Parts: sequence; C-alpha cells; structure tokens
Amino acid sequence: MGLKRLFLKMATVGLGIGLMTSAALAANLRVLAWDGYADADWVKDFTAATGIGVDVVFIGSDDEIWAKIKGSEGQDFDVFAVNTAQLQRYIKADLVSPIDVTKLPNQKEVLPRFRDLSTVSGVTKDGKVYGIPFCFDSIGLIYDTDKVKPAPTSMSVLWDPAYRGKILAYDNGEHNFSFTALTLGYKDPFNLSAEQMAAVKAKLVELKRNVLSFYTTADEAQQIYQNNDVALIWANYGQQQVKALQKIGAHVAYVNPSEGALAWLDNWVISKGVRDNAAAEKWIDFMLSKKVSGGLSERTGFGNTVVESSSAGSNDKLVWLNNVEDPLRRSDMWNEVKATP
Amino acid sequence: MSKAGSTQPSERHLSLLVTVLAFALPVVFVLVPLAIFLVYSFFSVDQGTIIHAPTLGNYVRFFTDPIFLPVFWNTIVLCVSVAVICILLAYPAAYFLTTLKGRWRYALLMLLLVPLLMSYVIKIYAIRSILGLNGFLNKALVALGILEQPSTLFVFNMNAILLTLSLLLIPFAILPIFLSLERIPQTLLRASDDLGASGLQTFLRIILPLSLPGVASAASFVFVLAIGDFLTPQMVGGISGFTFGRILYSQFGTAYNWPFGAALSVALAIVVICAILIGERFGRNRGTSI
Amino acid sequence: MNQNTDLLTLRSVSKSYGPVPVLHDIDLSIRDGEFLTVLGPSGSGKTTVLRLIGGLEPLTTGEIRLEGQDISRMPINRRPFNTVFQDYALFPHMTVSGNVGYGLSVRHIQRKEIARRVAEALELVQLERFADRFPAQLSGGQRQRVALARALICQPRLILLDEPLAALDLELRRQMQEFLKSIQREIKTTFLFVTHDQEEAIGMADRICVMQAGHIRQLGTPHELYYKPNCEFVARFFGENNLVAGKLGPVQGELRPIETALGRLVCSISDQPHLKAALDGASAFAAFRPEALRLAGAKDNDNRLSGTIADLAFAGSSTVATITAGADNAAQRLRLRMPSRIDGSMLKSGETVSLSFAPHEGHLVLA
Repeated sequence: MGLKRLFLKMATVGLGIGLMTSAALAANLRVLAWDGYADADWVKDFTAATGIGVDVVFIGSDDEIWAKIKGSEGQDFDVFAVNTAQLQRYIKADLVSPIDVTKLPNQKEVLPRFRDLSTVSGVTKDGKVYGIPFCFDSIGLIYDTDKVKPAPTSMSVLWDPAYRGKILAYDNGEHNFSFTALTLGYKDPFNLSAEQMAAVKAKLVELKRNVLSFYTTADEAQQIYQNNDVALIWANYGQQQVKALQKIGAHVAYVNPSEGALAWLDNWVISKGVRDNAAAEKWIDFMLSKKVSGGLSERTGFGNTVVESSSAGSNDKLVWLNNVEDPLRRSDMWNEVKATP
Repeated sequence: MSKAGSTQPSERHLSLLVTVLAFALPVVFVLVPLAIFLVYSFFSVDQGTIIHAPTLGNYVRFFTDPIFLPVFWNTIVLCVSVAVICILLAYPAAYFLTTLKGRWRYALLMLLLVPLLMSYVIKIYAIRSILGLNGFLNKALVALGILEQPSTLFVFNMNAILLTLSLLLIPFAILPIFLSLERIPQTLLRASDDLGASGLQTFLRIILPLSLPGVASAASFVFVLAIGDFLTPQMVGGISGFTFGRILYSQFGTAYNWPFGAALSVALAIVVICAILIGERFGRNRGTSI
Repeated sequence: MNQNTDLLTLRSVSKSYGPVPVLHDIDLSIRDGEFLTVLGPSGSGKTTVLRLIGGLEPLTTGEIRLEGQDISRMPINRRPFNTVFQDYALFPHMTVSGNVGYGLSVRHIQRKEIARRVAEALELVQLERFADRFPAQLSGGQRQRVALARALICQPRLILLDEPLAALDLELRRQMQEFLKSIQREIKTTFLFVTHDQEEAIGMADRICVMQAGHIRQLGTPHELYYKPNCEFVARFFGENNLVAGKLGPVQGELRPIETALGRLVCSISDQPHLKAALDGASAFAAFRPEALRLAGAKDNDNRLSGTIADLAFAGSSTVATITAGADNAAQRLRLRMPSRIDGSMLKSGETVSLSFAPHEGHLVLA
C-alpha cells in the first residue's frame, strides 16, 4: 500500500531529524542565568575558545530558578546562577554537584574577600564547594530626583503618604519580609519569630496601600515608570535598573538605605544533572576571567568578584541575603498581604 | 457492503492506528494531565519536597483560609463582568458584520481576528501603556476636555484588569456571535417584517433570541479564558487587582507548593467545566429548534 | 366585498436585478375577494410579482395601487398584506401560538384579544391541539397550516402565497389545495397564489395569470385559458393540446378556416376580436383538445382528419391514443382522449382511423 509506505518514510525521516536535533543539543552546554550574565558576545567568545556550544535560558526570579531546577530534578540544565541565600536549599535537595576549585585557574585571581570560599557564607557544605561567587549587588532604592526631595536615606520613605500610588515594589514575599524587617529594626531579617512575622505582615499591608504596582522584571518596572507617575522604586535589580532608567533619560538616583541594604551574591553552580562536567567548569572559569567579570560590571553596574568596582561604597552597610526560616510561609503570607483589601 | 471484506490488511492497520490516535491524543493530553492534577491535589509539601501521602489538607485549607474563597469569588465576579462587557461590545460588531455584503463581511471579520495572531504579552504591554497615567487614553480624555488631569482610574486596579481582559478577549466573543447571527435564515426576518414588526421588534423578538446560543458560547469562551489568565491581572492589576489566577500561579511559580496549586486548579477546573456546560446547554437548547 | 372592484393594481411595473430585467412592464389588476393564481415556469417572474406586492423588494419602475392609493414605496411592515412563504419561515423559538399571534403582538394588541384570535385562527386551520408545540415538532402539512394561520390572523387585505405547497407530497398537496380554497371561501380574503403547477392552478383559482419570461401572457378564468388561449405558449403550457400550424383563411362569421398540412380546418373565433382582425394568410395554429377529437359520429360541418394509431395508453377513466396524421413529409402527432371501456378499446395500434372535431370545439392561436 503506497500510503503506508509513505507514512513509514515520513516517520523515519521525522525520527532522523529528531535524533539529529537531540544530538546537536547534547553537545551544547545548557545554562540558566539572569539577563546580563551570559551576553551573546561572551557566549560567542566562549564557544570560539572552547568549541563548546551554549544554550542560554534567561529567568526572571529566584522562584523561577527553583521551579525550573526542582521541576526537572536538575536534569534540564548543566550550569546555573543562584544566590547564596538560595544555594543551601539546592544543596539540601541534592540538586547541585560539588565543584573542584582546582579546575578553575581563574578562581586564584579573584578579590581577596572571595578567594577563600570557606569564609563566604552559604557557598560550602561539609567542606565541599558548591557555588563560585562572581557577581553581587545591593537592593537599594531608586528615586526620582525631581519628585523626591530631599534625597531619601531610609527605606521608611516607602511608607510616606506623600508618595501614595507612586511607588513600585517587587513581587516577592521573601525579600519584602526581609527588608521590612530591617526597616522595623529587627536584627536577623532572615529568621523572624511569629510575632515579628505578624508585625512585618501588617507593615507590608500598609506598604501595599502606598504602592502603585508590583513588578517582576526590570523591563516591566521601566515600562511602568515611563507611562505613569512613579517616584520611588524598590530596586530588586539595583545598578542594572538605575542604569537602564538613566539611559532613557529618567532623572533617577540610587541609594543604599541607612538601616542596611539587602545584597545578593550570585554564584555559578553545577547542577546534579550535568552532562559534561568539564564543559561546565570551563564555563565558570571563563566567567571568572577579568574580561568577562570586568565587562559585567561595566555593562550592568553590578559588583564582581575579580575586578574592583563601585557597586556599593565602602561606607554602605550591606546585608548579605541568607536563606529564610520558611520560604513557603513567607510566600503564603505574601499572598495574604496581596489579598488584603 | 461486501467491500469491507476485500480491504487490504495494511489499510485496516492504518485505520486502526488512526482510531487509536484519535482516542489516545485527548486521553494523553487532556485526561491524563487532569487526572495527575487531581491526584497531586491530595498530596502535601514539606521543605520543598512533595509528600506522596493522601490528605484532604489542601481542600480544607482552601475552604477555611480566609484569603482563598473571597479572592475566588471576586475573580468569578470579575470574569463574569468581562464576559458581559465582551458580549455588549462584540454583539454590535458581529451584527454590523452580518449586515455587510459578501467579501467585505469576511475581510472585516478577519481583520477583527488579527489581534489573535499577536503575542499575548505584547498586547498586555501595549494596553498597559495606553491605560497608564501618561498613556494615550488619558492624553485623549484630557485633550477632549473630559478630564481635567490624567487619572489613575484606568491602570493598576480592577478596572484595568476588566478593561484589558475585555479588549484581549473580544475576538473570542465576536466569532461565535457572528456565526450564530449568520445562521439565522433571512426569510425569518422577512416574515417578521411582513407580519408588521418594526426593525426593533424584529431584532428583539427574532434575531436576539435566535442568536442566544452564540452569545452563550461567546460568554462561556470569554469567561473560561479570563478566569484562567494570571498574566493580565499580574501586569495591570496593581495592588488591588489580586485574582485567583495570581494565587494559583504563585503556588507553582513561586511557592513551589504544587499539591496546593493542584487543589486550587481543581477548584478552578470545576468552575470552568460548569461554565462550559452552561454555555453548551444554552447553545444546544435553542439550536435544535432551528 | 365585490369581485368586480379592483383591490390592487399594478401599472407598468418593471423590475431589474442590476442590468438583468426580470419583469417587463407588467399591468395586472387583482379583484377584491378573488383567488388569483400566478402561474408560470421557473424564471417567469411570478415570484418577483409577489415579492414586489408584498414589499419584500422595491420596484424598478411603475406603481402599485391599493384601491387607488399608491403604495409603491410603503414599507413592508405597513402594507396590509401577509405572506405565506415557500419554506413557511416559522419562528423556531416560538410555539405554534407564539407564531400565529406574532402579527398581533407586534401591534401591541391586548393579550386576551390575541389569545382569543389565535384560538380562532388555529380552529380555522384545525390545529387547536398543537398550540403549544414548536415548529420542529410538526409535520410539513401542519407547518403549512401554521404559516397560513399566522398570515390570516392579521386580517390582511391580501394574502400572498409563494408556492406554499411545493414541499408537500402529492396526496397532502391535494388536501391542502381543497383546504386553502375552502378557507378562502370562508374568510373571503383575496388570495394571490404563485405556482408553477398548472393542475394546482386550475383546481383552485378564480382567475389565472399566466407568466412567461417576465411578461404576462394571459389573464382569465381557467375555462377561458383552457378553451381560448391567446397565444401558442398558453395553448401549449396550459393543459394537453393538439396544435396544427397553418395559414388563416377569410372570416366566416364566428368561424374562420385555417389551411394546414392536414387540410382545411374550421375553428371558432367567437369573443376573440384579435382573431377576427388578423389578416388572411397570417400564420396561426388550429388548436383542439384531445377530448374534442372523435372517432365516429361526425356531423356535416365537422372538421375531418385521418391517421394511424401509433400508441394507446390506458389512463384509468380515459384512454389516450397517439395518432400519426398527414403525409409522410408533414406527419404530425395528435392525441385523442376517450372514455375507457371495461371490454377494452376496439382500437389497435397500426389501425387507420378517421377523426373529427366540431368547429366550436376548435380554436385558433396566432403564431
């Protein structure tokens, strides 16, 4: 029967194409990263230097990384970027592989404070290194210099009724609880007691009434800023966000608040499901080169671990993000805050 | 038919294959995922790992926690309103289309459906800039003297969700209404005229009731699409526009509480299925008597 | 109501669809209370006449007058006419009562009054028991009667029926014909009935208007059309007929001869002045019905013919013989209808027979 033969032929060809594609994909390094960490020219340089192809998937939130990595038990990606606060969660869930630092020659050249990884909180467990720090930034405040006078020094400006409906906040329970805890003067914003949680929640409901909208990506915040009357932005994307706004002509400035700015430290980690460990190591080492790390700071304004940069001044108080007492509880409470009329 | 006996075995295999595929596709892609959701909704989660032991905890939480039911209810009200707005806007458009002749009718219909080809997110972005304080809508209203100064009424609240969802979903309302209007035999309208009815009477007593099946399916279409949407509320809802879709999304996207998310999805699925059944019932009831 | 006064008059009415003319300069008067049938083959323009009167379409030129008043531009819903559509056009979402009462309810007549008149109308069409059914639950004949009741409940001056029986089977159609006729007699409303079926037309109409190619060919009683067709089209279209071509001879009082290939035939021209006025030698046809032909008992003045029986067809009460007459080079088929006999016909195929018909049973039509 001619039809059947045709059908079989088509099936064979289809299968062939499928195999070829997956073979091509198998050779590529699968990277999950934030926008700005794996720019196309670096990827090109990396491929040129090592012969390893790279597929990059960009993500928009910490929770998205967790959902993607946990959802595939680490099988979908080889290397990904995650901050110190999050990393322990991945280690505990057995989603990441230990890293042999001797395979990363550039790690010896990093700034002194990042050289001994056992002193950097959160990147090691049981003497094994799981994350290689490469980038950090504070989460401060962006303010419109025409609308906010005098320049703010404290996060409490977000609760100022003068700016009602002119504030953009970030749609994330964990960070919002942490920075509000700092604003309320709590010592350890990452380990809150039940009463502290309740107080923070009440404070966040108050904040919500002052807020125009919650955003998730920097682009989104920028678009809202352009089309609306925005005075203050809780800058989850820190330097990157200020630079982008200034580029479009916005009169904005950045401040690390006096009660301490949350700051994140991002690390490259190798997933449990890595297909080619050597390729993953090469990627990380390449990222620690002066050219890429320096370039990263130039392009984004983030601090890097290799070259001195001006992300945060020496007087600025930075509070490194840590994993929180109960992320699920914070997420649920954040929903409750949002659902409060 | 003796022909069946002479069918080649390979042909029979092929038709068997087609039959199996026809049944397998909906089972694999619709029923199985739904069943998985249902099963997951009876699990729980601890420290980011799913505990595979059956519990009713998720459902108990849904019905007892003070945040879920009110948001659920508000979301249903919101989506019913979206459906109503879409119908009110789509009906005149569809009606106008049916009054056009031949080629124009379908050309214009296609034009109205073009937005469906565009990216959903881009459309939301575009609408959000239109609705914003410095957006087109405010500029136009101020220029026309309707508003003295730009208003924040149109964005980052429930109004914005209502407006945006309505705009996004109107094409889904136009199509079924147009089809039901087009199916009404012209001679019924002539008969109504002939019996002395005015244009308005013919519309109210003949056209409107006979197009109700289309209206019903349009309404259920729009409602179902609106209630499943989390992106629009997320992007234009601001602080007051908190919908069930956003809670649901947060369970999967941020909280990583799949079992509870599954339970919420089951609740949503029940509402969606009800909406479809209601639309279907209305549609059929009137349709058979044509 | 007086059958002699004109209810509706069409004067020089033409209709074109774009460049395509479908009606040419029609003049037609409809008498009050009559059952007028418009008969014609498909494409003759008969339905267009009905649609123009009903107001379903605008005229191109001419005018329509209702008792002298020009209604050419009156909108459809104001005309005191109602239509029974070919496919009934019942409203599927309304019950039988709803359909029948529709014309009254849109005029904001009181509910009670509507209910009374609906009951009356349903009684008239014998559908009292079906008042609460939906159209989908009715048979074709029942739907037809609902459509009729719906039209006549408004007490229109004129009921327009557009081939209303076309969709029914033969037996049901016969019943409905009688039924329609009896209702028309009972309510004495003027009916304008459009059909392509001449038997239907003969059976029901007071007068018939025969149309062809956008023209009215003849308007008259069924009897007039049958025995005095004014043209070849009507003579051939309306009932079975024998037509023999020839040239007219000189007028002889109420008779006139015509020279044909079958010899000289003398036919009646009474009440047909145009035949009296026609010139000698003009081309015409002698026309005589199959039942006028006789095999025997010819009188002196009768026309005589001879021929050979080609075929005999038994048709119940009558038998039809097909006869070949005339010389080989001008042979012509004639039909003869005679009452059937229980002992069979005395005729056989191939037999030569003499035929005759009386002059007053023959007539002439101009070619």
